Amino acid sequence: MAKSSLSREKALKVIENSRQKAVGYLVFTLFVVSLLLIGAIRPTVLTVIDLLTEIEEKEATVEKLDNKINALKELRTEYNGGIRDSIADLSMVFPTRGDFSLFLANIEKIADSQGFGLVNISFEKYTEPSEGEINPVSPDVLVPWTVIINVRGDSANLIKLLKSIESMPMYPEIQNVSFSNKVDDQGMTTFTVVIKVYKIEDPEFYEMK
Amino acid sequence: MPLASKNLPQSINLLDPVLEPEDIWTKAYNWIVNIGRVLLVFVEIIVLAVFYIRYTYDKVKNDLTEDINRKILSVLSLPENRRDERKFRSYLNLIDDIKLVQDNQKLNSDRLAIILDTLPQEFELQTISFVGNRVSLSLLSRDFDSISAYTADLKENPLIDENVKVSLSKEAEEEDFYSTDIEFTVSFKFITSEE
Repeated sequence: MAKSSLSREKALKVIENSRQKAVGYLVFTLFVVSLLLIGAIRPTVLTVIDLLTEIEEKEATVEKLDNKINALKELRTEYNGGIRDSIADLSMVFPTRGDFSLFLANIEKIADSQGFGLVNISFEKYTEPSEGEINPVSPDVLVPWTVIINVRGDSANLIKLLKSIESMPMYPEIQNVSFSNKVDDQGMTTFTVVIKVYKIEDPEFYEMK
Repeated sequence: MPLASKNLPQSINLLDPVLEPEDIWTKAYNWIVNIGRVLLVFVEIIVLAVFYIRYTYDKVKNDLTEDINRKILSVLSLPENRRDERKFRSYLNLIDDIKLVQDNQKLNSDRLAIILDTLPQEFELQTISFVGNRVSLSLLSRDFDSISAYTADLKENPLIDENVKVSLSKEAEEEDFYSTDIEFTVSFKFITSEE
């Protein structure tokens, strides 16, 4: 009886020992697995993610470069197919020098056609108005310039003259009109009209090499 | 278990089993042989997989880098292409500017026509200035009543903002206003469709 009880105790001790051993194994295994996850697998996964991100960026760059090359080809074809002449015309409308040859050539004809005589014309640098609202237009390439014209004619035709000026291809804007008090023997009045036009600052804009 | 079995006492009595000694090295050996090897194989598999993935992606990355360099060096860096790119960019900017100027051109002749139509006969218009939607008139008049009547008319005009400002010149304020011209300025703002 006593021998049987001893064997039972030994058996229980074996089971208890096995359980402790299993728990110890499990804890240690989890610890090693955690170390591997943090120390080995995580950095490699991060490296792969970095590689994927780099590949994605490079693919986007390749796509941008392809688009740029294609756009350049298309623009070159368009430019050689007729836009070159239009650009050459634009150099007359928005000159790089301050001579405004097209404006000068047209303004006298316009004034004549509306019964006005061009007395004087001058060009000067445009100054932003100090008072009132600032014009919201701020182009990149074009810079505003001021043209001052003195014309003599019938005041009844003034609006027609201004409309003709505004319809010129350089989109002039009437800034100021001054009226002379004096009417001469022929019923003519002298007006001073300040007009805003645009030019290009870069003198080599149309001759880029 | 050769290492462990060397130190164990021999017994064939199953009811009196020989207990394993609590030696740490033996336990470590058992763990490495039973579980550690599985983990090692698992880690090796992952390492090989990552190596393969990295090798593949590295190749893709190198191909892309070569492609980018080739495109930059052999196409975009050519002087002809660089010049054309600069030229077309400038022309596109110019076209954008022209569109901007065209869209924002203020047709002040129409406004002047409106102003001249509503100007009383007894007034003499000296100067008219346009700054954006704001208009400033410099005028001469013979009496104050017509000035206030004109101002009231302007305020009622639906095309004009009711905030109409009138200022008399200093000379006009000081002199006998029934015997001389009164110089004054009127400024107001045209109401645009955006407002």
